[in-house]
Amino acid sequence: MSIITRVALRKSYGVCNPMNPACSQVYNSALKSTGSAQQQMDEFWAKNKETNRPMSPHLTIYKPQLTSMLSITHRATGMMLAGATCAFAAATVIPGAAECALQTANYLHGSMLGSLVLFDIKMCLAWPLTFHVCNGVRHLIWDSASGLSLSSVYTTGWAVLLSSLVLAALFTLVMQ
Amino acid sequence: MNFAALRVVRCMKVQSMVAGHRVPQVVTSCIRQPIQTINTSSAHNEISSQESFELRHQVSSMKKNNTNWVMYRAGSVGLLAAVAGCFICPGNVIVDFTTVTLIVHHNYFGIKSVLADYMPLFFKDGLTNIVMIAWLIISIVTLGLLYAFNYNNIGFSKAVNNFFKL
Repeated sequence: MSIITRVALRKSYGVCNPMNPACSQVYNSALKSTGSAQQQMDEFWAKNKETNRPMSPHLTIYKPQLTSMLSITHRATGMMLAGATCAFAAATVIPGAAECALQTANYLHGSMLGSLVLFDIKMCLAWPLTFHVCNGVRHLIWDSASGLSLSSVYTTGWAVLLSSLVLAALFTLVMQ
Repeated sequence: MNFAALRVVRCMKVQSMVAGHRVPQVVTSCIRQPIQTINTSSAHNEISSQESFELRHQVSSMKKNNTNWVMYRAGSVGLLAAVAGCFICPGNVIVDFTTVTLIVHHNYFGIKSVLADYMPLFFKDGLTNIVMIAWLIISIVTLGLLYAFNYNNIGFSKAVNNFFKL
């Protein structure tokens, strides 16, 4: 041990601290001075996991914020889109699926209320896609290590929300 | 000069708070950390042979361990271009097949990370592995069905366009 360390700890002989051998009982389970840093951290986690301590409340108490809500929506829309592509692939082999969709669309086109329902159905598929695309672009921007400050995160977050709604409405209304 | 004794020397600055005295003392200690150790004397040596100086997240972000992450991001950028191409030139064969391949690739790794996040919290490791393999099989089947759709039918981009034109 270097001289500096000894000088620094000279005043601690009477105090209960890790370096004081009289208090080794209190501290010997806390200190792991062997092994790499990663091993020491893993041992800490493993030891605490064994004791089965109760977890503090997290999801139930944390205030919903733009950051967390956009993140979970990104994940949820991603899962929806993955399910939609699998459903689309499955529908290609189900006989009569295309005719069924065409029939429903023609039926809904007839009335004013039906057109609104059709618009809603199309928005329900377009908005998850545009939201996931816009937020995906935001993630790629973060991956290039820019826009990581809290104010940028909030600005880009609102931009993503607005642009996803605008693009979805654009797709649904413009495509004729 | 003894070349066998030459090792990489890394110095760490250790800040120690002395209990009862609130003045922090900065202590510099030079710790010799070899990059790779061969555990020759395991009798009194508690350090395993897999010990490395870098932390796990540092190791996984080194360039040679990072290719999966980079490939996934490259696929995402390609998917952006492919989806744009879907609406700009529908019915193009190249656009169809690239879109479908990149979509399935993106979906597979996306859902895989979701499963890896949430499954171990509620289920045993065996069930998690089974679900991962099941998702791989579903992904492959989806890719095959979409390729068949592209080949035999009107194609993915035309189908998406027609859906929005309904």
